[in-house]
Amino acid sequence: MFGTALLVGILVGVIAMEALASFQFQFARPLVLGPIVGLVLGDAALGLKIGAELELIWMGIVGIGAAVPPDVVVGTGIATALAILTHSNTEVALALAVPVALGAQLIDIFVRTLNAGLIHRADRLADAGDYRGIELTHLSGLGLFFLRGFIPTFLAIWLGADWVKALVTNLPEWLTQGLATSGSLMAALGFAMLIQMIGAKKLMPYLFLGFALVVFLKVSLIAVAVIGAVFAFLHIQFAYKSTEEE
Amino acid sequence: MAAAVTQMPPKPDTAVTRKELMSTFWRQFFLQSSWNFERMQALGYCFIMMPVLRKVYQGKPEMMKAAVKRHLEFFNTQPYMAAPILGFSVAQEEQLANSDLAAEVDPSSINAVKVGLMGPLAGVGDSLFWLTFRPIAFSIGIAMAMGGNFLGPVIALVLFNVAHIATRWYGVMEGYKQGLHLLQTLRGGALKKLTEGAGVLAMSVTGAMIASMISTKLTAAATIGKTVVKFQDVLDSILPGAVPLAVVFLVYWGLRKRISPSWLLLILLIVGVLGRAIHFWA
Repeated sequence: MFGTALLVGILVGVIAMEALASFQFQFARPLVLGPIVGLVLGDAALGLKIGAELELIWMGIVGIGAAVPPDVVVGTGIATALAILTHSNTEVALALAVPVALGAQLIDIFVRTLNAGLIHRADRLADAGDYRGIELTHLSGLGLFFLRGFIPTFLAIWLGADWVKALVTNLPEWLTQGLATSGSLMAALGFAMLIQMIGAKKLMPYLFLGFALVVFLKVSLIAVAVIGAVFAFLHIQFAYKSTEEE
Repeated sequence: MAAAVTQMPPKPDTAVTRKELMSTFWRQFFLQSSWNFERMQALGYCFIMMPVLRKVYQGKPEMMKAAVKRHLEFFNTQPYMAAPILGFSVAQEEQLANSDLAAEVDPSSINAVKVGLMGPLAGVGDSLFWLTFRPIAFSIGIAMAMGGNFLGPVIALVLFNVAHIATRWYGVMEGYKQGLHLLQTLRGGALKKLTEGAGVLAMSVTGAMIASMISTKLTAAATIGKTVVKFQDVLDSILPGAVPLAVVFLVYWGLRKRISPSWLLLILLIVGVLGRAIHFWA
């Protein structure tokens, strides 16, 4: 288990560096990270499934401004890895992911607090004219972001896998079925958060538009996106027409 | 015979070339490597500006130092939207370094622009990328992945990153070229319209996702005389998808009442398990 823990730990650490501190190509999202972890551990299909479910729940988890969201990277990494290693299923992964993400969020906040030391150092280097030093100080921040992904993941897998396996094999059926229902419901949170963040109450009708298109006309998601874009253009034209004509 | 011409030392080339613009483009991917609560993206901004500053302030160590310190001041915006601001800063620093009359370009205007733009651009960026592009790209990916299709994540990444990279590229290049003109466009109503349009799109797709991705159905039924009335059938004849919609609005109401998302998730977990156990829903 040590080797596996090390491997997955490094993987999650690298992705954790990509999540915020560099690139941000969204490899840190569950839909991508899930299958990658699955691929590494030999069950890509389960990883894909878990990734899709977690992505749904966490669709509304966004880091805006100074707000630090629950840690989707470590949550996905640990939950997927443990679910695969204990030969269990999506429901277990979902149940694990949420508390893990919350715990890891605290580590994230800790790292971002520590980083203030870097900018203070940069101030001193600027006075001394050491510009190369400033560049290196900045890049050294990546190290802490790597560790915040690596350490919890490594520890959870190395120490936790056997414990989780024992727990999982003793789960009663009503609980596992119930978790499946919960999984579906939890996506509601993601959507509710999106709605709240988009913010404008006057845009609510469009929510019902998309909803009605799928429910009554059975239109695909891409079709709704295209129709939504058309409405967006029309909306801007009509909504701003009166102000322009003044 | 002409007097020997005194050779003047060549003036160092302090123009911003494609080389500096490219390094700005590449370095911006590391904007947040040292993100901290105190000055957020500031050190990253300074890091990105370094190659440009080194070039334009050659032979002017005092101006270089001032410039470096200038860019260590608080800065935070949506990471991709830093691009146009960076492009503009590059143009401004080049102007400042090369103007013969230092009074022509006021150094404090460089940070004034950064401070003035970072808020509005963050709003647009958050709206466009985190609330519109990413949910759309990833919901398409989720739909494919639910069916076991590994192309799901791939499509999601491709769709999203086209918009992402285009913004980072054109942001820097156009921010540099257009400078003031871009600033005026951004300050105008264009940003507001863009945000609202993105909101329309995001709402439509979210509504669609509510209908298609929450599969909870009521399993409760009542027996009236000899007939068994299944509640879900009744709902389906009026409004299919009523249950997902109702749950979303209940959670939304909870968020508005300032219940934290973590609590809501826990409540959903418990309600889901219990509801299943008493055969209310599945």
